[in-house]
Amino acid sequence: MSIRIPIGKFIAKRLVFGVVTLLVVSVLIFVLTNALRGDPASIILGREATPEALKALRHDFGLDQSLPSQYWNWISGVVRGDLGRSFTTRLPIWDSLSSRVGASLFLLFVAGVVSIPISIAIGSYAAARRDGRFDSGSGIALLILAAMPEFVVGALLVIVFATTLTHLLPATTYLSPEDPPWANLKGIILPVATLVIAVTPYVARVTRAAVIEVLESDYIEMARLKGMPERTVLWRHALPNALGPVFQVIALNLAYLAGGVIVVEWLFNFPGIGTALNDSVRSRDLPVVQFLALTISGVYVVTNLVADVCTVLATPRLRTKLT
Amino acid sequence: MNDNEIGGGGVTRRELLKGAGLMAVTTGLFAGMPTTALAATKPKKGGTFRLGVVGSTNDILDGQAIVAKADQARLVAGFETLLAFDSNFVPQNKYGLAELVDVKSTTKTVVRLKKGIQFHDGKPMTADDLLYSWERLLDAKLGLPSYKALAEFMDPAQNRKIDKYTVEFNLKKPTVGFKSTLAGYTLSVVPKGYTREGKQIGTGPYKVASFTPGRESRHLRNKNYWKAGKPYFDEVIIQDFADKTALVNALLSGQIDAAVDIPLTAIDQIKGASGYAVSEVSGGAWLCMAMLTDRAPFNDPRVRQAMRLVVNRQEILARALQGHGEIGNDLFGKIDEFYNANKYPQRQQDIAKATALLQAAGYSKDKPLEVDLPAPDDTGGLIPMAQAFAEQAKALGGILKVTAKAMDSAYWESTYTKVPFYTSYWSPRAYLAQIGATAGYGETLYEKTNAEYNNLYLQASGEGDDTKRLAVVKQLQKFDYEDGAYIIPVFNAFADAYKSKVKGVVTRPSQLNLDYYGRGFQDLYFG
Repeated sequence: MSIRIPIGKFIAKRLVFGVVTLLVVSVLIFVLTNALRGDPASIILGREATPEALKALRHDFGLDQSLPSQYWNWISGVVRGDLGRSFTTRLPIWDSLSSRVGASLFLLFVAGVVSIPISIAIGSYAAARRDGRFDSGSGIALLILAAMPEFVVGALLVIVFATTLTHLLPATTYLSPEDPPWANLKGIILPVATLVIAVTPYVARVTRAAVIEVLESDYIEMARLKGMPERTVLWRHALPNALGPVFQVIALNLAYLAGGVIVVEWLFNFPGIGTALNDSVRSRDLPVVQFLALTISGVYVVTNLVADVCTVLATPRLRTKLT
Repeated sequence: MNDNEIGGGGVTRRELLKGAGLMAVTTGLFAGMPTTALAATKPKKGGTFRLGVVGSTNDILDGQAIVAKADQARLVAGFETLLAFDSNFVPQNKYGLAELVDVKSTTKTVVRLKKGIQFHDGKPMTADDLLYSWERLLDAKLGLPSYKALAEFMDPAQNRKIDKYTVEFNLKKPTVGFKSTLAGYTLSVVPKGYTREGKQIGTGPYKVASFTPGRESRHLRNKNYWKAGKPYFDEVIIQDFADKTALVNALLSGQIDAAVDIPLTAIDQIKGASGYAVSEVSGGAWLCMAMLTDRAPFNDPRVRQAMRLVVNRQEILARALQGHGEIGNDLFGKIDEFYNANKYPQRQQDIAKATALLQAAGYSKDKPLEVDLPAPDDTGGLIPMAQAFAEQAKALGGILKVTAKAMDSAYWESTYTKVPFYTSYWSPRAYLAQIGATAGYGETLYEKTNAEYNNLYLQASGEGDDTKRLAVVKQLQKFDYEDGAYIIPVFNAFADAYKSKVKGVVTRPSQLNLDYYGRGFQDLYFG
């Protein structure tokens, strides 16, 4: 296909852009985490710490060096794949956090897989029957859901399904440290539902608007005049052309979830990066905070990159511009 | 999440710094207190018991140390002390490893170990292990939480092995209540050569199978446990929760069998659910505001007295603890037999008197006394207490301006004991032990600025005769009540919740939740 080379170039360009973004973000993360009040060494060792012990710990973690050289040590380590050690556990970060990163990504993935088709289906159906009963009903329902923050939704789900009204589902996600994240699928139903409810309203509304816009265009009119069934018009002609903006919104929402997952993990005691981030901020475990913040930024960059590529591929106007 | 809950039972990483478990109590104060009688039915063996605790990736597992509250449950499951407190806070050997503790004098105590007790690896426990345990506790390089308090009166080199099971402790300073010290839950016996990094081997009812900080630990039944027929569960899983709301939810949806330190706001909710029980005790833990007496404005005793008259204790009990606890009277050591030995009346809010005292100290509406009152969010109750106090100060009509400052856990490192006025909390301690602990942290510096008080304290600490000691304690408490630097508005309750099918739970004032976690989970079983 003729588009293969230009899209490759486009992706490469965006990748470079993404790396530059991450570098800028890494500087911000580093400066901001170091501005957290409290000296990590004395928080770790406590008030009983002798000056010698403090000095040894600071030296051990390179905290006695200047901030620019600390930054260089950190970022060059990250580039080499050496993420450093946690202040509190003194263990390599990747060893203790890889399972948490995996668990959070799995949660995010399942939430995405469930929410994307649901929201596109709701949005398209509402657009096809514009101003009908489903359209107005779903419009109101989505607006209500969109207005509720995740912790309210999550708390309501817990009350309804786990603790008070019924006991159908577990209220928290229990995962043994040796288990993979998919070992307890029943345990992730409520956190996934919370995330899906957080994202679906936006994506559905955007899908509806985009599909309506396309349905009003001349070529759809033409297709209808040709006598094409409405179903084919919607699914084969309208929806693919409406997907460009939808991809953008999905990407924004998935990226938002990467941060929003912190609240949801907290609520459901999910053993992911959210709870780890909270712990590490409190104990001033700066290497862990920096790693997690960078990971979340990475998810932002990657989802946006994927969305841009999908948008370009789904939009003939943009696709042909590349050649 | 919830500012109004009493967090971590008031024990977090600072408890490490405060010499956790060091308590010198010889009292019968709680005799006759209601206890939940053990079920008459014969305990059933088997099952996996799941306990939920608030924990984090900072948790540790060490037979002689904790850094956070979650570590307590893990410690008592695997490790045991020479003596343990009975329900009247008297140190006894029923739950302890000592067969005999013979106090020869205030400087000499002979301890004989029970014979035939094995460590988890099958090795028998002997005097060598006991000597090593105290060397480790007193190793300055390790800096275990109890080091500071123990080093005051003991040099491990002076302890002596008499025979295979007997050790003579020689104290370098006369000390009353050494028996109670031996019952401090972090002063357990570990095998010779034990390290935190090495294998976790103790004598306790459960041996450690795995431990992942911030996630969970698994403990298997010690088949060679020295008490026949115990413990009952096959396995105990101690699971960490980042947040108390999730902890309560996990209990109410049946995922865990018990939860310690539930938010006081959740007590009614859990009591209302069928199949659950709550164990609530007010055992002498307290919240306080501390004033540093070595500097202005609190070097002026009139200012200290005025501050204590500003407090509306009932309102703080309601706002900070939702009524779960008791009001305080600026006196500490509630579990001590000598608590409030002078029978002082309950101090009440007296705005007129407080205003007059501040005016006498030179303050006025044009030149008000302005102080900050910082409080950390990791210890529930402290922030609402500070906020309530700041509001109560407004009643003085502008002569006193208190600004409550909410902070996070960095408070303990950046602010605690470094500003003239701040908040703190303590778990139950005997009276004299508390003065020592307060001094160790420099919380009020009162003993530094009042030489007479300091001398009385030293005199009382070395006085073996109860009647003579009481006379000195009375003089000390006169200072505490009339001149001291603590505002103690409330004693806070501890609340634990569990499924009704969990039997053997004892409800009584205790240092640790669920009465020492059912003595390291050995008394608990599924009914």
